[in-house]
Amino acid sequence: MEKTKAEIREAIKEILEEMIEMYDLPTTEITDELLLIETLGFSSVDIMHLLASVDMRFERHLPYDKIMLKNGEYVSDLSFGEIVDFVYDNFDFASSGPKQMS
Amino acid sequence: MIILTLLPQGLSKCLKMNQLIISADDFGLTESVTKGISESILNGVVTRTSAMMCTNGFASIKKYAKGLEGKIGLHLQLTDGTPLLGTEEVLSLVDSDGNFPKKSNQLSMVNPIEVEKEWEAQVKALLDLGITPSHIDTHHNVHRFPKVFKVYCSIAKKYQLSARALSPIMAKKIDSFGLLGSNYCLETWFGNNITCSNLIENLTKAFQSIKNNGIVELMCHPGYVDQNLESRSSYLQAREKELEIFLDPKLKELLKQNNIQLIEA
Repeated sequence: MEKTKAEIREAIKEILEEMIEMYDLPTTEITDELLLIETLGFSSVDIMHLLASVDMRFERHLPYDKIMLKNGEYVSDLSFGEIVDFVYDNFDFASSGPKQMS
Repeated sequence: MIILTLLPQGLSKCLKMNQLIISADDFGLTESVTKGISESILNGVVTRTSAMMCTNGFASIKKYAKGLEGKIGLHLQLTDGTPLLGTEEVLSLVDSDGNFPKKSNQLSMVNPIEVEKEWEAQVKALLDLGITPSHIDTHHNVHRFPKVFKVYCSIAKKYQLSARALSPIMAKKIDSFGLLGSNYCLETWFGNNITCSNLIENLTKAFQSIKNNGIVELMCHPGYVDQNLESRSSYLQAREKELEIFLDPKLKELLKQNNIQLIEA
């Protein structure tokens, strides 16, 4: 299942808009530069939820540790554009399901 | 005089304790898990549990619910079980065999209206067992997905139930309904390398992340292993390790030494 970058961007944007609405966050224009922690007040857990929703949307499991962790520490922030680039770059290498406790 | 006025305030600040809920998931998953959870509450430090309605576990839930009044919530399911409603009513939630998917990333097509109907049925099923839920959470924390979270909030609000929040912004939303909940959920303490001391380390970090001002919920999975569990879960021996830790009197002492108070709410 191939996806264009535009399709991936649109899907992530839709999820982010749902989160903004759901959590009563200030309405914000979603651009590539939008910082999720600084601008939206996300925590790293919320970013993981966004990424899990991307997994769910595409029924994939992307290696998110690669983008969330730098030298064993959580990154201080991520932009919308960085997430789109990461998902696009890793989409074809992703496994079909996440490891999950059951 | 000034000293007399200020001392109690200062003292009370010194004595202010961090509050912790220890919440065991999967009550009703199998008889052995249910028995272990019951023991972890009755004889250990676990403060509450949440029951699964879609695992054919009604008999064990009834059997082990004795003594746990007010400490059993509802572990709402969209994964790993069979819905209570007929397949035709929840088509977006089931696979070709009429079961929920095993994994949460297979929920891409869920229809929130069907989620709400199914979760209402799960609330009713618990009430029919004579148990009024003390709170709600979800199996595999599926309420992390925005469209599922919307339904989760609606159930919490309708039944005025405290609800597990997985992040501060989620906690803020739940708090806006006037419902009591935790400010932080520690989801990552599990596996074969768990110990009393790394639990305390994890809890200390969790409390620091909310500036030692609020309630932390520890999500856990104590239980015994039996053949039934082996056939349906990948999380096995670590459940017994968790149970051993929660029953260890040393943990109670360590919590006290680290200024952590157990609460049920």
